[in-house]
Amino acid sequence: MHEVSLVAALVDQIEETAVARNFRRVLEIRLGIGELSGVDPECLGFCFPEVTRSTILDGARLVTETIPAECVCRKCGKASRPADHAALLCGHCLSGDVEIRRGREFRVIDLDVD
Amino acid sequence: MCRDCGCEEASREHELWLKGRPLRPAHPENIPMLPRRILMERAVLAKNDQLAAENRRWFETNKMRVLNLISSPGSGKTLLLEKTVQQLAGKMKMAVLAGDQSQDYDAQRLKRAGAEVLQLNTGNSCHLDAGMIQKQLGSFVRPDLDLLVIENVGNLVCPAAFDLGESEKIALLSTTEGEDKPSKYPLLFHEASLIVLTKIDLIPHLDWSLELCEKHIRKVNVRAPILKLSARTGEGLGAWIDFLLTRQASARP
Repeated sequence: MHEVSLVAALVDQIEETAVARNFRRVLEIRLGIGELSGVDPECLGFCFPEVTRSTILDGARLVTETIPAECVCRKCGKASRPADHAALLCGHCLSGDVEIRRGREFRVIDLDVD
Repeated sequence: MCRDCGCEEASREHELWLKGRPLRPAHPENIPMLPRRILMERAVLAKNDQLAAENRRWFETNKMRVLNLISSPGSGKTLLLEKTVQQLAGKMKMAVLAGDQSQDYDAQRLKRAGAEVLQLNTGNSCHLDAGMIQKQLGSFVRPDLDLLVIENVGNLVCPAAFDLGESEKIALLSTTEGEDKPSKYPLLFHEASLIVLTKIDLIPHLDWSLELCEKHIRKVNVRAPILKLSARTGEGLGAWIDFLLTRQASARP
């Protein structure tokens, strides 16, 4: 839903990096998308070419990698991949009292530039 | 003349670079770049998170409690705030930042209710971000306020991803939206420190079950208190006002 503004934030960040690291074109960009980040990879891929047009990311190949969710249970103390994303239940004891440790990320992993 | 970029200048920096010492070239714009990989490992919203952290420090320095109200459009945020402003008049210094894509209807309504309010229009964006809030700190958001309520753009998805620097996220859910929204939009309801069920005066007219709704909430959030109220009839409003006043007192000893 907010993928357009996320790509816009991405363009700003990469344009700043381009000045600092001295490159003019991005050939490929790899993004890590957490399962619980609320970012839809398909939607991101759909708006990416439009939002990046005439920017440093124009024409760049977009590669996305899923970052699996991980939660830590306050009841049994174990870390696990949640049993169910909608419910956010501990994968071991099915308690709902969990803290999300991983899976909310939306980050740039690396770039191929020239 | 420089044989790499064709410029006329032969500076010391240029010479060193030609000798293979990788100093910054004097004329990078002229030099063809070789493809290379740059490691980033940086959050796309790093800038927002940094601004949010600055906001949070500012709020803490000024001992201001800041609530980020998030819900679907039409869940009753504005009516609840109208009633809140009226009930808190004279009891604490409060202001409202009202976010919407366009129009200032909410601000007009809240102003009529006596609120200090500023409308923030986000244009194409579906959420408020930390930068929009930061622009108001020290101007519209006066340092001597006790409470700042940020009425986010009506949306259950995006506002949950953008930290504004608030003290608490509060999720509102109206009875007309059905019982299962917390399961469908788990992140917001998981992170909320308080969940407010609104429009409970409509329950007799709906096929809506409080028990089922609470079940869906507890699946994603075992801790947050659940308040049930109707801003229209005033039922349950007292507990909401107490929540604002009590926590206020403990936050400002």
